[in-house]
Amino acid sequence: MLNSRVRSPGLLVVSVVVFILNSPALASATELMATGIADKPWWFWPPVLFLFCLILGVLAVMAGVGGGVLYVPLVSGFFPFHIDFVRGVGLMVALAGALAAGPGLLRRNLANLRLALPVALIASTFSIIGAMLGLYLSKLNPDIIQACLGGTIVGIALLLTFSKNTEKPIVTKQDAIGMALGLGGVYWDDGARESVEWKTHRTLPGLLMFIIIGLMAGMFGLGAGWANVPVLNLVMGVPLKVSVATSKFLLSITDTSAAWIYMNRGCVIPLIGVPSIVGLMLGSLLGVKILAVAKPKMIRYVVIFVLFFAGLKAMDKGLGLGFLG
Amino acid sequence: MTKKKINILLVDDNAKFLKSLAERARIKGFTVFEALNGESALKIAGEQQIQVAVVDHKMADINGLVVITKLKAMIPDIKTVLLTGHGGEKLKEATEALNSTYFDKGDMGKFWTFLSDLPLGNVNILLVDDNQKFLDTLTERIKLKGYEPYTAFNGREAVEIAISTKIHLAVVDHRLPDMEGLVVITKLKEIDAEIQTLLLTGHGDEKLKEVTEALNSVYFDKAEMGKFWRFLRKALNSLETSMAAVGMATGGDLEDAVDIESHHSRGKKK
Repeated sequence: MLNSRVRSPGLLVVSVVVFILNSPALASATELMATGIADKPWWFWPPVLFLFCLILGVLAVMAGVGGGVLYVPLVSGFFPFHIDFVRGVGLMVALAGALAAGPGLLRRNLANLRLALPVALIASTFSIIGAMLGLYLSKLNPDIIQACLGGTIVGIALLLTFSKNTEKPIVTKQDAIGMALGLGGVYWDDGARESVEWKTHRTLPGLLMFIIIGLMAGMFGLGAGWANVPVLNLVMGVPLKVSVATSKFLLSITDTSAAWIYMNRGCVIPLIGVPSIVGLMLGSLLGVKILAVAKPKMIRYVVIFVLFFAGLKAMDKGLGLGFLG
Repeated sequence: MTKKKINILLVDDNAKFLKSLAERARIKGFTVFEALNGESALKIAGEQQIQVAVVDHKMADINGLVVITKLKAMIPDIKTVLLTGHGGEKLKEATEALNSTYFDKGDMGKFWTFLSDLPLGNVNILLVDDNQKFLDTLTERIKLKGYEPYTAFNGREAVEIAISTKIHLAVVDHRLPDMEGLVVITKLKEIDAEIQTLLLTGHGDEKLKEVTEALNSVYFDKAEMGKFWRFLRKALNSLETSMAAVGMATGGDLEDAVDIESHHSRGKKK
């Protein structure tokens, strides 16, 4: 049991124990503790988690994958923390990245507010529902969430493998909803040295897809950049640059809504959250410096493979098959 | 303190870009005039009191640099900016030779920072220091920000100026020949309680800081001036750029992430 393994009598430990004792997820957390690693003292986990997240941050940037997507399956798979805690912190990790990137992307005129706001309204509403639903299912049986998470991660890995985004999709005619919401704009393409005009099409199906994206973001705490970008780019016809930047900005709204639910239920533990966020942020800063001088494509494939494995492992764990140990 | 809006003239032959530029400038608090070509820009400048003009380089009728030259001839005090997507070092030099500012459309962040730094109101600043050299440097820097400061070499002069003119902000040196800076600040506050004051000293300590703050005044050590803020601004800008690059990378757009990060690194090396 997480609290009974704590041996140091410090004030911090007491606070953490009290916090965990009050958490609704406590009972189930005990079941997921692997017997060997559970013997470690409490202070063992923050530095290990920090180092793990530092590496994860570097890999996420170099592979072009969101930190939250890697964080939730890998930390829930390899660390003895309850899935609710991991999902709560996963949202905070994605949120921290989005909040840090937002100002720079808005200043560069890449993130588009007009596009982000209606989408954010839908996605954040459903992310709240998703978070509540996720915690409800987890209370019934954490294995349900674990199995669903596994399936989603495998789906994300497939999406990352086969989805080919288009840099500047051709939109011949804007639809009525897009026109009414003023979903369009112009940005400066530094590479082509020209200003690029864009507008949306298939706006309604695109907006409806954000219902599912919001639900999944809230339910699994994965962030949602992996789904936002293809929907904005391939369905709605928004240029890749604007899609990516707007998606990042969007996460800062969507994930905030869902994160409140997890915080309210006591699922965001500072002892897990702080080393994770600091590690991932520092790792991603390091990653982008490395990326500026070297772009090893191999890393993306390795990360996709790891995602596949983590997804299958989560499914295996959730369904109780025991194939992957 | 009343704020006066600045009239800004935006000239670009790309209607959509012009519209988006105008929208943002309005949000920033400017009164915006738009022109799709050089001819109409000059016509507007003849009819309105334009303080700032942002001109595209390549336009159908008149070249941006020519428009700037003509605008300067019409309104000598006008601040001009050449905004181009097809620039280079040569064009930058030519623009600066016209006493105009040059911005690349690829780096709109710098352009908006420049516009945000333009003074948006009539603020009377009083500088009080017996060190002529320091006073000149400070005056120059404040002038660069677009203000015309009043200067005084001693406390008596400062008080006289504050009686005859509405002063919004006073920067006062601590060691003055006739009275101490704190006394000057007290007198200035007696004349106008709303006046914002700042005590500037090279010989300060914690006690002086406490007394200054008790007078509802800001305390500033000359030795620390600029250094810390420059460091902080640079560090924050650098972090913001890197995080924007991280945002693009984790969204799957590695090319643009590399562009943002390497553009920023090049800028730092320069």
